[in-house]
Amino acid sequence: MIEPLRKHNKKGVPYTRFPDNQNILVTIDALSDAGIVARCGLPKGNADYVPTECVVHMLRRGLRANNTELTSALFTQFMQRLRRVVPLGETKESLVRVQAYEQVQDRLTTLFAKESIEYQERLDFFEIWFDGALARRLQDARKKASKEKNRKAPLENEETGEIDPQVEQAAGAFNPFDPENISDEYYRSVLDEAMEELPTTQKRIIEMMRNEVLIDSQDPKMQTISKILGLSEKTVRNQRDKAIVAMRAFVNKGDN
Amino acid sequence: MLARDNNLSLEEVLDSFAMEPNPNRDVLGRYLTDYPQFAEELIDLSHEIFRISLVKERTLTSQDNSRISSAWSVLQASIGKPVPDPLANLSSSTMGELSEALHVPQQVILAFWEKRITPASVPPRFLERMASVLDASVQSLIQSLSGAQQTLARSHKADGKPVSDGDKQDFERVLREARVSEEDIASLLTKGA
Repeated sequence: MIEPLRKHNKKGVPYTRFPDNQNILVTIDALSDAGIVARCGLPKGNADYVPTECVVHMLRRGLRANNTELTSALFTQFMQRLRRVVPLGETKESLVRVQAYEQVQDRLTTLFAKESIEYQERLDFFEIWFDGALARRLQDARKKASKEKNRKAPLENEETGEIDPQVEQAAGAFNPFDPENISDEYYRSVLDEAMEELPTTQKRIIEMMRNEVLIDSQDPKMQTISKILGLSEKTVRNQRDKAIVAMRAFVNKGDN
Repeated sequence: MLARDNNLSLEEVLDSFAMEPNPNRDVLGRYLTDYPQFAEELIDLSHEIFRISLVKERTLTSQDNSRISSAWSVLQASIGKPVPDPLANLSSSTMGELSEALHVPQQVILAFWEKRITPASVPPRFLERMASVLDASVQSLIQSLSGAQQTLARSHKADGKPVSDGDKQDFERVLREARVSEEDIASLLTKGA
């Protein structure tokens, strides 16, 4: 039997797993321990691939049952999946990201250790949607790191809000999130590195631009980039263009 | 996933957004409208989720394998060991993190660390949020608070007598002594936030 999650949202409604994952759990629940380990070890792309959310469930179950053999194998598989997405840290900026991943790994190891004694509701999030839960933990780790380093870059021209025509021209019509480019695996990894290089404010502008948040609006109820960041429309445009120029240069670096 | 609720804390809103089955631009737009006070953090989270979707899996290195082995050694050594007192050995950065997340002065966090506060006088929701920051269960937090008071960590000036063991105080009194505004005290006591 697959135990329901215990975490409730603040409306008192229990969180649930995605139905596909719940069905996979029901299937692998019928297997022996060796069968579970073998199935969880199948690579991505295999028709019987087990999503990480389900590996987390089986690992937690092993921890609570004090089943060392199962726990050892599943913990290793889980960590291998996590390590495969940790950046290699080739630049100073990506080192910050690597550190965030390392902190998340340590925190998860601590939570798994506690799980062997008492149910850790925070781990429920990793059974619901692993990427979302990982993003939350990375965000926390980065927040701590940025507090220590105070990395927020000052904005130029903030007082005058003047748009630098050269930057505006250089930004041109480059769309970093062009769906055609995004479908390319190499482009995605370079885009990821390019975004790491941006100062916090530019990252936020780019993220809002990707989500089609308007720069400014006459409607006072509308949430806009300008309002959210407390910057003038011109400053937002200027910073957006600088971010695009920097990203375009980074992305094109490999072509030279 | 959640309807608008202005009583939700930053952590609760971010957790809810992170668990959205399809966090697309419409969902982000809804959260930005419902929780404008957390807009920057929501954007950072949306960015983090997007970046995870870009990641290309790579081959494991020998360094990865040694990190995995050492993590297993740490886990194996901790399995079955009693859960440590969540309030023991609080670092100054964790105290700062608690103070920020719970919207109370560090003086109040110090009172928790000193186990000066009667657990029953603290609203359950406040304890839940505190336990969440500490990666602990509410039960282990209550157990810790019920224990003997820690050695007083600071010198007391003339305006107050040091509190002795067995002389726990109500949460409300600690808030008042820390000069938390009446409005915030009322909110903390009724909603725990």
